[in-house]
Amino acid sequence: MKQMLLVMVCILLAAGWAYGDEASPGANSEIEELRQRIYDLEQKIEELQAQQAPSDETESTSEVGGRFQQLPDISFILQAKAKFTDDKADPDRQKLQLTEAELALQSYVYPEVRLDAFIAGCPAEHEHSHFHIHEAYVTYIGLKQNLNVMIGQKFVPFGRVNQLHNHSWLYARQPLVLSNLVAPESLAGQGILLDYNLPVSENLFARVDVGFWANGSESEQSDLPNIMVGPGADLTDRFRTIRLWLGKSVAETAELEAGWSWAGGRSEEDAATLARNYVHLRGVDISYRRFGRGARRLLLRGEYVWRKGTLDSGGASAVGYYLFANYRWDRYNSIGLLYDWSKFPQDTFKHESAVSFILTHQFSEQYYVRLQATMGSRPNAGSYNELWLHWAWGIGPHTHNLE
Amino acid sequence: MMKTLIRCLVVIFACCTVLAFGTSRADAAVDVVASTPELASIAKYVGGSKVTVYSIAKPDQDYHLIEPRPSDVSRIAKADLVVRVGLDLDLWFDALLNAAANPKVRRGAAGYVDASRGVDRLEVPKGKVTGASGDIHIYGNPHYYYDPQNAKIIARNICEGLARVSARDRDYFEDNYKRFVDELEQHISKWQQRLKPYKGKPVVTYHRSASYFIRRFGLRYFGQLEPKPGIPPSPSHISQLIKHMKEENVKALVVESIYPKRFPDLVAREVGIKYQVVPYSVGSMGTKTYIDLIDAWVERFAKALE
Repeated sequence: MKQMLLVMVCILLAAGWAYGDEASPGANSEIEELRQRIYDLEQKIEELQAQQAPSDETESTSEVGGRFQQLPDISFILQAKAKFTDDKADPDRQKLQLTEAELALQSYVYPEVRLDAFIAGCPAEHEHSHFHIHEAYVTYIGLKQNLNVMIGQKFVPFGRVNQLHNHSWLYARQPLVLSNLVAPESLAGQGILLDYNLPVSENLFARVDVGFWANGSESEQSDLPNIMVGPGADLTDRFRTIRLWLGKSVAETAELEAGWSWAGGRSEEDAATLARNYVHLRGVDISYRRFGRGARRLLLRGEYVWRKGTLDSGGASAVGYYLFANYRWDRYNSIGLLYDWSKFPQDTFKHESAVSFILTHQFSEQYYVRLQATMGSRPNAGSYNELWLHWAWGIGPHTHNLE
Repeated sequence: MMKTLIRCLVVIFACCTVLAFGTSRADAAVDVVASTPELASIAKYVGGSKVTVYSIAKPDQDYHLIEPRPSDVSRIAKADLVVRVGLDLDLWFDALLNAAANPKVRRGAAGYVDASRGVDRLEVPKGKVTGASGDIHIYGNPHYYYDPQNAKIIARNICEGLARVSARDRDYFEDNYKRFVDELEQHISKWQQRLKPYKGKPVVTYHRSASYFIRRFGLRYFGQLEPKPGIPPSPSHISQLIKHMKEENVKALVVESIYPKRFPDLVAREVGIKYQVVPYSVGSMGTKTYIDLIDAWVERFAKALE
């Protein structure tokens, strides 16, 4: 009897095992079938939604008639910098400061007439954080074949990087030669700019920019007695600019650029002496970019600037240059090396030099963090070491002209 | 100062006169500038011997991150027709168009082609788009060119553009368009057959670039290595993905050729699979034409799903 029961149990167990074994593929196939049905339904939904969606990319995907459709592209970019330095006299030492907040409004006002306005505030520099117009200009695109005309307040085309906004820089601190001889940040003016693309051979780019300006950027004074700072161009009254920019594709993925720039004009009258400073700036620049797989890019760049002022440098030339290399090995990371050297217009026998190592991590198109280590030597303060931490955060659609 | 200014201008124009060689083209071919190699390849099919085609983006360059080059401006300044992907993928193309100041190819002109026109867009965001959504495209997923059916729409748009700028060659472009569509049809049925056994099967990619391709061939998107578009893979996302892939027995991982292999290697090792790499562009991994590109995609997807 025992044996009989044992046999029965074995048979039952075997049957259960066999049934279970059979049931598993059945359940799997049912799951697969259900998944397939879900997938088919999802596809059907997508197809129906696609049919509903307007096909023209210029049409809005949101409800029609909303006021939002008339809004320009609005974006906001915030920058913060922390500076660590061994110069104990530096008031910005060991501080994290909000260095700039930029609001951009960009849109077309008429077919082929575009308006770009950039309003910026520098809370770290101004106690009450007043905002001012960084740039505000209208561009007549293709006014004539190969000709664009811009009117308004603008960063002038002098050198390769003067027109870049500081959130587009590849370093945390402006090269000394530019801040000492051109402008603390970027040389700006109010006036008119003509951009003309010369009709040259197919893969050669040649552009002439001619600008007539007034009310140029004011010079910056050093907060510190031991730190000498160049006054920039000091073209605070009328001035003109010319730039010739050449670019040639030297390989399928490489570009060589060269530029020559000139700016000349005068400062406003000194209230006490009624004298004006007449300033001439000249610059040459060269850039090489090679692109690789994905987002890889090598950039080599150098600029050399001459500045001559009738008053501040007594007709003597103050010169300076920088050499910069940057390698981006994927879409998120890049390293850079910057060497800069600059004389001072107010004392052309003295110079400052620095070397910087820069590491940037790009989280997204509008969000990055940068670390810059700088070792330099100042005329009255000897050597110094600085470490910069630089963050930039942006929201909204933000575009720039050809950079 | 005025003297200096005049001297400078004279020097510049003298230089430019010397540089201004070869401005007239030897033949009367329609000069086409495309934003990507895929569009350039399709434009070559349609334009045939009556066009010269140049692509701004080069094979295996990330189309989201193209840095416009000054020499590209000169190409567009002389172009008769420009073709762009649209849907905000090639936003950098606007900077080139504006800098080129060529009225023939400005937005809305006869020589301007937005290849996305008429494409059924996928993944058009319905709600608010913020930085938390990643680098999302507000008009929908812009990688529609990986769907060979969409290539017909692209070819149609290009054909119409070419006919607008060179009306006397309209018939020639129409014939080429029809030939391209016929050739594509033959390949599409072959590709459908190749991927038919894997209908509904789940696939993981690095970036969400295969949505249109996956829909076309009846596959199923399981996930991406990027937690959100344009956001680099994070350890937590990758570990979740590995867990889910194991749970759901997902075996197919396909990586576009431009992306780093660190995370695909990790996922493949953890899940116990081999991943496949697909060419990102026409011109990468030995592909020469648009049909080669899709051929490679179909073959690599099939291998990943086997």
